[in-house]
Amino acid sequence: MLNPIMTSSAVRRMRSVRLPLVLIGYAAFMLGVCLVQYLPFMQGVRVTMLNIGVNTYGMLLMLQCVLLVLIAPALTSASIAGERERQTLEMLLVTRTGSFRIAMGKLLESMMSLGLVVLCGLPAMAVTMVIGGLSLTQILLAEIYFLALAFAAGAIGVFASALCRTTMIATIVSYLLILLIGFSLCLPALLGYSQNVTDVLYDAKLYAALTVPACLRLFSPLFHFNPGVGAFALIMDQTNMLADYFSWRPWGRVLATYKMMDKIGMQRIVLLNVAGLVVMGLLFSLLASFFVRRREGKRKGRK
Amino acid sequence: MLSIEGLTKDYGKKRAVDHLDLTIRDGEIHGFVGPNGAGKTTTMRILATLLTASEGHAMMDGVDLLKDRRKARMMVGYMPDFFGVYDHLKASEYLDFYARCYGIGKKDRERMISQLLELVHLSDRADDYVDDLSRGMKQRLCLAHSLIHDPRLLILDEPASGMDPRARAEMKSILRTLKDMGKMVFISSHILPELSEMCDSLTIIDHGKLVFSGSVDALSDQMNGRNPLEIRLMPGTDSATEERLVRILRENPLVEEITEEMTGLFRVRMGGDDASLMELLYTLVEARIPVNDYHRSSMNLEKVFMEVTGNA
Ligand SMILES: Nc1ncnc2c1ncn2[C@@H]1O[C@H](COP(=O)(O)OP(=O)(O)OP(=O)(O)O)[C@@H](O)[C@H]1O
Ligand SMILES: [Mg+2]
Repeated sequence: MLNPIMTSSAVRRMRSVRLPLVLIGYAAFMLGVCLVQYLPFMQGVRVTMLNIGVNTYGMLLMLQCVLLVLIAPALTSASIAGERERQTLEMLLVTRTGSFRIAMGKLLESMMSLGLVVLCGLPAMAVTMVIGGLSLTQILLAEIYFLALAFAAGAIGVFASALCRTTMIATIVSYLLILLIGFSLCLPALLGYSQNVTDVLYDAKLYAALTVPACLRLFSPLFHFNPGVGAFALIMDQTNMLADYFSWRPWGRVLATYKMMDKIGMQRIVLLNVAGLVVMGLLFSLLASFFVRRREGKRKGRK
Repeated sequence: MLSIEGLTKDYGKKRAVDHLDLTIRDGEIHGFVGPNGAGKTTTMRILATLLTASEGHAMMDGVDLLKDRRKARMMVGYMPDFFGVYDHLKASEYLDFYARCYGIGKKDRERMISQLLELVHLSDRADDYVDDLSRGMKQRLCLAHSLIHDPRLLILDEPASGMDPRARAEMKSILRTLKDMGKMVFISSHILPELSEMCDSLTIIDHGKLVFSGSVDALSDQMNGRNPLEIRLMPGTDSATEERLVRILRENPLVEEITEEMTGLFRVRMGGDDASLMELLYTLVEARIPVNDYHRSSMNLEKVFMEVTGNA
């Protein structure tokens, strides 16, 4: 049987005006960005930059990553804290539905909505495919990555929602958590590698001799959970637009990281990152189910 | 049958429920009374598996509700004191949602929902949004929700608080129907008279401790012994005689407290049985006190409640 929490929450969300507004806004914004980018192209201005389509695509990628990370907590932070505020949670907790099923139901329902959001970005992506030279696989990979990103961010939102008493606090906590996670998972690039590793990577001969598995072993496993790494790999795979910045020796460990990514292959990095984000999402939903009930024991602030 | 033994709940250092014992028989409506903060909600939330008890057992049909929570949830229906409803959901969908949370199959769900809506007189509101119902209707709907999985024990925490007199009367008739179906109903209130009308038995608690538990008749009997004696003197009795009366009363070891309600009317708190009451009357007559009226006042339940919980 389908998870009742999921279906019922979905029905209620679909009947409210908020989600359609978010969807329309999102699609319109993406198409708007496309339009602005392509305006000179359409007016027949001679464009020297032939990869305008690809560039727009890179921009859309970044925008969508940022927007999804912003939207996902907003859509999920009310999921459990909202029931607490409404005083409906207790009646749910005395049913046969366990905490994990409640957390999962909420997460799945949010994923359906977030899936729709991702879908609404597709028209703009399609436009870039027509103009810029992008392959279907690349678009597909990007969409998969978006879903994984939304899943992880949504799970953090559900976790914060299970943890906090009000939706407001849950929203703030989930943004803070995302910031914290994003930042701390960048640390290996700044501090993580020894001088030895960077020396190997800078030496053209040694670098050429390095195999992919060996490189994967060097690569910090924390990166697989860092959404930024996935986004970066996607952009590099499809546009190469940031390559110039990363040929710079003084960047040290950052450059080393980039070289490793290049060796491993950007698409493989994206897939690993997708797996990492899914694992992170599952972990947070497990944690969430732990806190759904725990808080009720110490309910305060009743009328 | 539900039998609770030694139920105790500590919130940190504060003891909210203190070794509570009580028994509810099948097909019995059991009232639960106590002043604010007595521990009623705490007890009920423990039985509904929302809180863990610090100590104690609650056995029902061979299941310890405090230990085997999964089974307990299927056996207990709970209506909280404060609750909300979902927006954008119709009354029938609302019940359907909870039915599915209890894992009830589609056919049973449909049958159950129409029966329950019938029971709480909301059949004509099945397609209205729950949010738009009045408070009393929401309460009736919530009552229906707590019955959706056909529980043996129904726990209602102050269900009548938002209802008008008519709705209360309907509530009573609903509860009687449930009683006839053999369910146990455990219902809390601040208002003893209201409960005593519809309950078979009662438990009174104060500061987490059991004050009384038993049938409503037993309560009245027990309370009668504590009712004050009223002595009215002939109108126009002089104050010297009144003073003599007070002196005689003071000399009686059973007398605890004497108050003069108005001129010529004395209210005397005293222990002892009917025989000692007679003994006192003889003394008064011998002393030629002009007693006009002499009886134990019968106390109403409201006063009983104050009496029982007031001096703890
Ligand atoms: N979450 C909590 N943390 C600490 N103390 C609590 C908590 N909940 C209740 N208490 C305390 O436990 C005692 C019993 O509270 P409870 O809510 O069970 O009383 P009640 O009989 O339902 O009162 P009312 O008639 O006002 O509903 C009170 O003294 C209350 O302050
Ligand atoms: Mg209460």
